[in-house]
Amino acid sequence: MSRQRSLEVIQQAEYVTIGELVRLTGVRYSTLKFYTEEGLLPFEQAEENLTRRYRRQESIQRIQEIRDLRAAGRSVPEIKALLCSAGGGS
Amino acid sequence: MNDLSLVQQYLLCAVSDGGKLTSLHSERMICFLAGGLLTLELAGCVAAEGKKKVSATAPLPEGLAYLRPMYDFIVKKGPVAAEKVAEEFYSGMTSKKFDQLFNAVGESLAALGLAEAAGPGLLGGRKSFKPVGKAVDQVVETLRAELLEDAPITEDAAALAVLLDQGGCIKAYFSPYEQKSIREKLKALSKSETGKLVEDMMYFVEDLVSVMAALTVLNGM
Repeated sequence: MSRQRSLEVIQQAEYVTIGELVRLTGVRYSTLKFYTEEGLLPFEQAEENLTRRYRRQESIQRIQEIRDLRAAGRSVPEIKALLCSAGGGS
Repeated sequence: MNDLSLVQQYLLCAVSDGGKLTSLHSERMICFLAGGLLTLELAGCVAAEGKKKVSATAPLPEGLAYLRPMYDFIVKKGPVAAEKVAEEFYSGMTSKKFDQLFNAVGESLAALGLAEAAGPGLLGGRKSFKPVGKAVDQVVETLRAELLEDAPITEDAAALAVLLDQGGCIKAYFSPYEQKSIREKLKALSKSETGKLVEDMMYFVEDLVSVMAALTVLNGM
């Protein structure tokens, strides 16, 4: 078993876990999981147990985009369509 | 979001809405002490030896200055049973040493802007530390992400889950379904090759809660 990574380490990391994304963005786990399942938040799978890992910078940027669009009154399906048409959806 | 120690995270989750930790919830107080001990152990400055004795192995890190009273007691007493440490800081409703330790951890959270301190009034005693804003949410959501995701669990998350479970606070944050899933995951982990530490932590906290509860009854408190 490993220790939890410090915020300093996470902020420099190329890849982060969903728990670390919660710490970095303050967005709820259930919300991030939903975005992931909807294909709005791209991830990669690594290691034997296929742990999901996210590119830190791109993911934070994407989460902010989604938040901004939600704040502008867009629905999740609309956001999905917008992001996919922009070439960022998975 | 700050890097919070195990005992800081536990305090945020264990206090009442008003920021108090009262003797009505003795198991929460005992888990607070267990959290202090585990924090020292995770930081590598205290190690558990045979027969559940603990001893200091390295200087106290600067960032854990709020645990100085507990660390100093362990240094002074040499290898000492974890129950003795808990007994030193927990003796019912008017434990000054418990109040000192609780206030020190609480003040460290207040300094980070994560809790609002109040009290204790002219006679001194235990202050209250009401969590501010999304402080609790951040701790719980990070824990939820670690425990419910199909990914390896860190020692820190496992320890916090054990403390919240034994302290009886877990139901405030996790649904019955999630609680079941968390307990199953911790149990499976404790039986695995890499989960020896989780097994030790589970037994340690369970034992401490039972022993201290028995002592409290014997002392008529």
